[in-house]
Amino acid sequence: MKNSVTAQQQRQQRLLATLVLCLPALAHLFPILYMLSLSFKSATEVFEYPPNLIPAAFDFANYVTAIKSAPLARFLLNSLIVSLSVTALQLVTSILAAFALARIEFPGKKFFLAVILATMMVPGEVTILPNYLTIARLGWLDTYRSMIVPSAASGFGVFLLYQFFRTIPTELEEAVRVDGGSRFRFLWQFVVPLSMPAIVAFGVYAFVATWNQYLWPLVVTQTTEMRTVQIALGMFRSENEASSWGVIMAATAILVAPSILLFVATQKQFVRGIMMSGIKG
Amino acid sequence: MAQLQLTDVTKLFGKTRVIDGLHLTVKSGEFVVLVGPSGCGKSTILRMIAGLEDLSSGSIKMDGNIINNLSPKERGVAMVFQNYALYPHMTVRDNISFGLKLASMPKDEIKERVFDAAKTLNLTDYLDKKPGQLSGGQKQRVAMGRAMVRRPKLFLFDEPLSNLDAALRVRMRAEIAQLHKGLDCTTIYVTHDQVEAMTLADRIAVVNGGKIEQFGTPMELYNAPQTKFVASFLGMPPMNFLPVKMIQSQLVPSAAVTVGFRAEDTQVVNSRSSSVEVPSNEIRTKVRDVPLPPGSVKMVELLGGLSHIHVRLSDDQDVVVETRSALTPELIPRIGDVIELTADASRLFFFDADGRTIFKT
Ligand SMILES: Nc1ncnc2c1ncn2[C@@H]1O[C@H](COP(=O)(O)OP(=O)(O)O)[C@@H](O)[C@H]1O
Ligand SMILES: [Mg+2]
Repeated sequence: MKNSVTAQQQRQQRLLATLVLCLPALAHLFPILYMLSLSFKSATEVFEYPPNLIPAAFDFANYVTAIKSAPLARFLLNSLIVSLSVTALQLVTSILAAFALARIEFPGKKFFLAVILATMMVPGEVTILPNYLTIARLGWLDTYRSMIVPSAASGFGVFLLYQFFRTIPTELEEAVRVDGGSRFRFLWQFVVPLSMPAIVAFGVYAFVATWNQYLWPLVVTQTTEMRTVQIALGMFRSENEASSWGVIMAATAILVAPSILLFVATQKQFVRGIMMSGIKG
Repeated sequence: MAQLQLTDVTKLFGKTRVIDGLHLTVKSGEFVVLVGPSGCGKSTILRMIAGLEDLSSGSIKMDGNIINNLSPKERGVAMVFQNYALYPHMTVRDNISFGLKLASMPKDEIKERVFDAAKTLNLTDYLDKKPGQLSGGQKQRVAMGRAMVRRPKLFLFDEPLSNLDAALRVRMRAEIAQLHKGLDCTTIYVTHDQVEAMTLADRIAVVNGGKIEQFGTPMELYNAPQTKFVASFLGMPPMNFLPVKMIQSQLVPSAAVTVGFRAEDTQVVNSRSSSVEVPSNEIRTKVRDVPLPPGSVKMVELLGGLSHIHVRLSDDQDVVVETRSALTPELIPRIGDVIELTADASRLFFFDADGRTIFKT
């Protein structure tokens, strides 16, 4: 009897928690829903008062206009190329550096760790000018390289994975060595799979952070062909100033879709990784 | 099977000398147990033999060849770790066969060896499970299977049973002994548990402070300990020590000499203000027995077939004596009873101020 009472109490508590959590979730979700709603409305319906969250008809005309008026596919491709490359590079460099810091003894280790931590304290805006000068001297302006190479490593990634790798017992590595495995094999066949939640969490974080970058791509790209999604959105707004909000919202919906889809697809692992590493986004 | 020889092995961690000029020779096929208190350097010795830790100086030879600079793989050793160190994301089958796959062994042979090991260790039904789904004893068996299938020249165990509960520990101890008989493989086994050491070993090396205090068969160490440390470490309950020396069959106080005797080599000859009558089978010829100072009973532990009586002697020393027959309730001494004891004179050990055994001449 006692058990069923506690079970019921538990259910009630969970229901309450869910309801309470729904409020901030709705607050976060509302702009996205409103964007989707506007993207289906005609130019006149957009300004109707009172506004209606559900459009009169699901009309894809705005989407067609948006796709015709700008090379959206090109922007998406640019963002995809840059974000995927940066994510891949950051994963490789962070995994290797974190492994060395967490599992190998070498002189100056504490110093390197401190320097890597220090890079996390420096705001990105501070490094924009020196980085711009470097890129310009290299003649890399308006290339993918200019958006990828400066972000090839991440202090945050190194630190996150370092914390995670340290929790893997030393005896496991010794067992692998006695079984005849190399250190590198231990890294990719043991450390990486065992740290998957953290690696996925960091990968998603790196992808979304790069996808959402605005200032740096704006500074180093000049031609429309090299523009990324975030800059394109800005362009769209200024070009279509007084005109159709519906078209702007349709373009926005297309351009933010990939990062939202990515998050939805990896959400479970992402949350697990964030919880296990004890670092909040 | 391999013969192993450690010569003058020293290990420093920073400036701390953890292993200090260690010599040890293990015969081919022998089961040697390294026993000693926690932190005395047992794991370090084992890890140096495995090739997981470099030597600061000295040499390790296997079958006459120096192996100091060989990797663990090249040494042909297998090791069972204290926390099992199973690969958590792999099935039991993959755990056991991992080393064989790395050695590029043909698939058929891997399958056969894994099957044989699983049969020996009763793991056949668990081959497709992950370590997380196994009990402590099963994990332990997987760890042994992983070591076994490689047919190593040398088997290393680092406190393999310390994470198991008492009953399972006794069972796994028997299984390890049986396994060794079947494999006949040179084995070095580390433990801090003297019962494991006594029951498993062909020879025991008692390690203390990074040095081997004594190396010999269990009975040699039990009957002729060379140091007070060895005497105190082996045997349950631990040996009694009194700061006395023996003059004309009498114990007299002494600052320089310590006498040791085991609980089972004592007997209760009289106890007043209580109903303890010494059971008749306890009474032996007393010619060779020396009387101990009188004492009072502090505590009685009834262990079924035998009992341990903790006694505070008149000179404030505590000793434990063992009576071998079950005590009936009216024979149980009560706390505070005055008790007279003797110890078997032929089973007394004498130690000098440095804790070394003084051998009777
Ligand atoms: N990697 C290391 N660095 C520094 N000191 C260590 C290291 N490994 C072991 N020690 C020290 O060496 C001593 C012996 O350790 P160990 O061989 O693990 O003892 P045991 O296995 O007998 O309990 C301990 O005092 C321990 O603190
Ligand atoms: Mg140890």
